[in-house]
Amino acid sequence: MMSKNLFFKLIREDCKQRLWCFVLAMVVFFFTLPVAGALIISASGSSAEAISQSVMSYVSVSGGFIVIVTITGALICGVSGFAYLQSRKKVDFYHSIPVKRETLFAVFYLDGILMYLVPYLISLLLFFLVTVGYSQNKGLMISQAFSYMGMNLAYYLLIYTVAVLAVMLTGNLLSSLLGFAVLSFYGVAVQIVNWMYHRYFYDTFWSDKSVTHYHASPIFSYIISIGELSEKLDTGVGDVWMRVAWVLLIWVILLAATLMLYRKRPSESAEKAVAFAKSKPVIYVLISVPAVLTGTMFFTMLTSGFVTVWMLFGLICSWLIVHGILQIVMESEFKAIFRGKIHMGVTGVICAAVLAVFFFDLTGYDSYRPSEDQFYSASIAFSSLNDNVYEVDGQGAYHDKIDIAMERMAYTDYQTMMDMLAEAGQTGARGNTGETVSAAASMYGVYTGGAGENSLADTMVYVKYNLKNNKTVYRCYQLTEDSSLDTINRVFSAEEFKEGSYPILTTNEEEILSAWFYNGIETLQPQLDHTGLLRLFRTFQEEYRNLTLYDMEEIPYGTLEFFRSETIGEAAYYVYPAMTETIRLLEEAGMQGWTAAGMDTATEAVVDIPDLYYELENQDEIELGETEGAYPEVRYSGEQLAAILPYIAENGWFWDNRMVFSQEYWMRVTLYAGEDEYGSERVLSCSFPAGRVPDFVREDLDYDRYLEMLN
Amino acid sequence: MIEVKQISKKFDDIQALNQVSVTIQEGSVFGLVGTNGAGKSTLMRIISGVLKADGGAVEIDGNPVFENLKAKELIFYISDECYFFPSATPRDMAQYYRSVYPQFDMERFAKLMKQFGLDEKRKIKTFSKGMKKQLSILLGICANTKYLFCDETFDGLDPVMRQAVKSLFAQEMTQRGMTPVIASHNLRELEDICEYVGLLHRGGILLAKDLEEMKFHIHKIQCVFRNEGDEEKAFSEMEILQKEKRGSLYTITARGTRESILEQVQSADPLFAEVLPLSLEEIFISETEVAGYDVKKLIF
Repeated sequence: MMSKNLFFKLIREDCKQRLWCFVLAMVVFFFTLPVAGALIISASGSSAEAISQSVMSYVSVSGGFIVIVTITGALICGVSGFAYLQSRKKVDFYHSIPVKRETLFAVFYLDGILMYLVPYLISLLLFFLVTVGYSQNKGLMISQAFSYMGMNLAYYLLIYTVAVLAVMLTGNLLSSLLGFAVLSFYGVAVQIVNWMYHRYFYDTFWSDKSVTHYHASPIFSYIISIGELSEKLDTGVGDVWMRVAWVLLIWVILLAATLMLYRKRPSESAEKAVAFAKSKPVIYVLISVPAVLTGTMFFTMLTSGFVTVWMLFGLICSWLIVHGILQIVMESEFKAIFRGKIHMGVTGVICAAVLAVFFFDLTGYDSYRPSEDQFYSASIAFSSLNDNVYEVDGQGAYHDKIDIAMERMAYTDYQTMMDMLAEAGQTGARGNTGETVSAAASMYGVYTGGAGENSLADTMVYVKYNLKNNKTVYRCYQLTEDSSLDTINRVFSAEEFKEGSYPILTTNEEEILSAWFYNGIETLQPQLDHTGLLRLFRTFQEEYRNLTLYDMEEIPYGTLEFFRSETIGEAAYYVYPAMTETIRLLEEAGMQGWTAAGMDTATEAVVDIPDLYYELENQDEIELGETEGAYPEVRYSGEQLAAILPYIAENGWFWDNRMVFSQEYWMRVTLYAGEDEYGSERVLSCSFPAGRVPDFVREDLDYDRYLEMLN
Repeated sequence: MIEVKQISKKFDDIQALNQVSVTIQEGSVFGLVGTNGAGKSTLMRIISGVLKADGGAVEIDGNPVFENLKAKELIFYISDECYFFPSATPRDMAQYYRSVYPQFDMERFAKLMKQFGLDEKRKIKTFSKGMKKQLSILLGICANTKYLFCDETFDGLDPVMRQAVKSLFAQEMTQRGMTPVIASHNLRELEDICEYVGLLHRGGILLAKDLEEMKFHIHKIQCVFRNEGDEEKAFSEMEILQKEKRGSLYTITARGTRESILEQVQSADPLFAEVLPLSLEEIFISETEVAGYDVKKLIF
């Protein structure tokens, strides 16, 4: 039974030896907390409220500074506390004295915690002493500061233990630091490599927003959690304390593992790179496989030609280089690069196998379709449709159209969905030749441009299959020229699709507080009482449910935004000419649509083709001086202006539903629409819908001739 | 008593110790001799509880040593490269040792430091190598443990200090029965202090014997015979370990008691016969040459 007296004596002695750690921590915390607090007070002016607000916000900001202090401190304390294991002299000293090794572990481990906690606590108390007199909500300030402290301490324990574990597994300082980096980031790194390979090789790869689980890294998890705590303290919602509980649980498990390794660690491991000789091949393979695969991908992505050749070159080069580096680090000797052929071979085989699986799609990833027996429901979203749809929920979190669809949609018409996907290709980023296109294109999608067609071929279809066995599978497909708008419309028109895509359709009318209408020129509030508002809302919902993709090919009448009580922001939904009742109600409420508003306010429209002209110049088809001025343009006013107004739309409206409503790419319309409420001239950027430029405009600009020259 | 039974230890591919067995009696000074890389430090670290043997057992007064406080409280290990806390003074080190060795005598330590001319408040990092060695010995002695393990401790000491330390050891042994175990590659250094000696070579014990017993049973004799052929009569019954002839002078090293060897030589009526003292070095050479080793290559 360990003597308490001896234990505290040993703690005191170790604190004396590592006094520099304590002093460093004290200095850093002192300046981060009470000194910074005093500076904030001095700089915040004389208003008591301003000072109080500054102090409160610094409590949150200081959380960010302390993250850096915590991570650095954990590493320093962890490595310094157990550095004796890396020196033969020190090992002889500590392991020969009549003190159990577990006692030594407890002493050094506890000291490392005290060296963080004590300076932090003292500085926090000093911070309170300095600032509490200026805070208008003392209780809140103190509780928030202690909330941060609780989170910081939990993660300090975790990261500190990771540092100690790194020292247990290694025998010198360099290896310990590298080991810490590996333990801290390995999980995330492997996920990123996995993601890279899925993204590059699988055309149908798509995962939910969080492609990597950053909580696999204690450091990333810490940074995310502090951010979430900050949000929680600001908004009062969100539960981060469950995360803290998990962190503490993982800490306990890690601590037990570290202690176990400490007991088994041979004393003769001092000054060796790896403490446990039997772990060397395991560590080698675990590190080398993702490293080699990363190097292989690096060379593969560098080029768009002879990709397979460069891929193999990258594989071999990375394999050799990674082997050399690892051997030198693990054996502390340059000539070690000529050894370790067995685990080098194992790594090579594994990497080649992994590459083959992805390259030849041996698992059938891209051809995956669930059978009808397996299928339960699906969530579907289109890349160039409904980009206007978003929602900010009651907790302040932003959800885009894909988030909304993936979370809410349960589309069950298996056959219609399969009909649509049958028309979609698997070409994706690879194109028809099977060779990958450029790295950027393969990563971010292929732009096919478009001079006069709707971008059906640009459209990606994101699908989440919900299977009967409770598994979910994510895939994406690219629509092709063979894709039928009719088939897609059958999917779009289904109630399940609409209700899963548009939050407004499942909104309870009792939540509606107000509505705002934008006609492309100005935003106005319909003159409606509450009953009229609800009638407008119901009519809008009903007509939106009946909307088809063909209706969305028309120039919108305007956009309507309904505000609810719980949300911060809500999407603006397009009102289409097919929504006749909604339009009638809006006009009764004093609203004017785009065309009518334009007729009233527009004075002139300038139509030109600068991009087309410069493109032709680049292709040496024309010279700059062929026409007067830089490029051709035409100005319309009066009757001619009235003639083109029904054929143009404000540019912003072309971005949200490009699948069915895209702009005529080469032609630009600048509309001068009177003055706004500040007396400034309204200049609107507009376009013609693709393929719907009036003949007289085409003639005025000699547009067809230029297009012919381009093609 | 320290019992080492069939201890083996391997570091990667190097067999540092191979089935080493030795018994160290309490109350006697045990010298562990061997060349560099013989395994002396490894053996010392194992019996100090620093390293764990791959096989075999080490017991100190019947207690296994590894991670056993009961055994470790009985020993003080002075490593070949002593560790002192950075920026510590001898007094600081003494205070630390007092916390782990409750019987540490601070008063005696202060006294001895004065006697040896060392300033207990001066930073150890300013000490010379020899001074550090002296300090480590004084700390070990003042810890008042039953066994004191010294690994190459005498190497950095000047002859005067060496004598002083030897006197101190003798005093401790007499007063409280301390048992020093001294590892060294220098036989001459151990000669006048060790009572029991073990020779380690390439991870194995070549021999482990009581020094007096060794000396009692091996003697060197120089003699000159009157007639040619007389030496055959004299040496025929003897177990000769080494024989050298220079002119008519014979120098032999033989196993046996002094009396029996002299008697045999005298039976040949020599002109001259004298028994010469054997150094530890010479004893070892003789013993190990029998075992087939050229000890000069091993030790000197």
